[in-house]
Amino acid sequence: MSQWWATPMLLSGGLFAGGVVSIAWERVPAWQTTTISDFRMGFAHTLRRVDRLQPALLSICLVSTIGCAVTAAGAARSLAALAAAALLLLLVGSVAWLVPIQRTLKSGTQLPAAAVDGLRARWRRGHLIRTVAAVAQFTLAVVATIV
Amino acid sequence: MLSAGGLFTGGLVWYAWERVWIWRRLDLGEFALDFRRSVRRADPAMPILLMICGAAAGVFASIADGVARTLALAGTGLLAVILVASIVVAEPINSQFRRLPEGVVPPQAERLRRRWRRFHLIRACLGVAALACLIVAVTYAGPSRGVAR
Repeated sequence: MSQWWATPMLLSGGLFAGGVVSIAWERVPAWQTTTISDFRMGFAHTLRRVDRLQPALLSICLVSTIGCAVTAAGAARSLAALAAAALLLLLVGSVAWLVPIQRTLKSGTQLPAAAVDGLRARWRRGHLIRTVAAVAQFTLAVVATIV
Repeated sequence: MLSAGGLFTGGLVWYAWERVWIWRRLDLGEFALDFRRSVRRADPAMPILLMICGAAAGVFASIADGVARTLALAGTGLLAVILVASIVVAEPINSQFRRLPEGVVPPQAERLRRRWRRFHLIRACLGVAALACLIVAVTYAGPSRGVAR
């Protein structure tokens, strides 16, 4: 495996996974206990910041993981390809499932409290799945580097 | 080492990028409430990840040689600096918020907020540097070349 691909893969993958885990660990429980209006405001603020950093880290990680898969051989190649596939799945899942929820919650549209609560629960579930996938993907990338 | 280090550093960067930015915009009452809750969540997890990464990096440095050893030692050193500085600088600030009832603003909260922010931005930079050292130790002088088997 080329070290030129492995270094950005692990650095961006670690920062991405750490960011996703932090949101799941710190923000999600905080949002569960706030009122609907506070949740929508806090969620929009967080998204405004996170939407700039996380997609950039994900893109760097995806490109460098593909680079690793192409330049590696044997088990490292398989693991890197698996990690790239997991990242791609994560990206598609986020765009298809979570981004529409985020857009709805971020918009100023008046929504009934029950609808916001339902969206919050769906987003939480989706984000927890994304967190597990991101940690698994990062672990695969680490193992691909050391085998 | 890399798994715990990645999650730890990702957490530091997330705080620096997201929470610190939001906390600057809150009034002191809202900040005190949110900061106290946030610290309560982060406190068990972040030190545990730091300790796991630091211990594993120390073991890696002890079995590696050449460039890998030097880089692993540099990464371990940076993690040790983060640990000691967190205990000396950040923990007294955290406990000033934590020991008060929820919603109560400690005296000189604005100064504490500024100091914590400045410290955390430095800590996040040190964390990224430590992770970069450990990654390069593993990838550029990795197991086949740098680690005694």
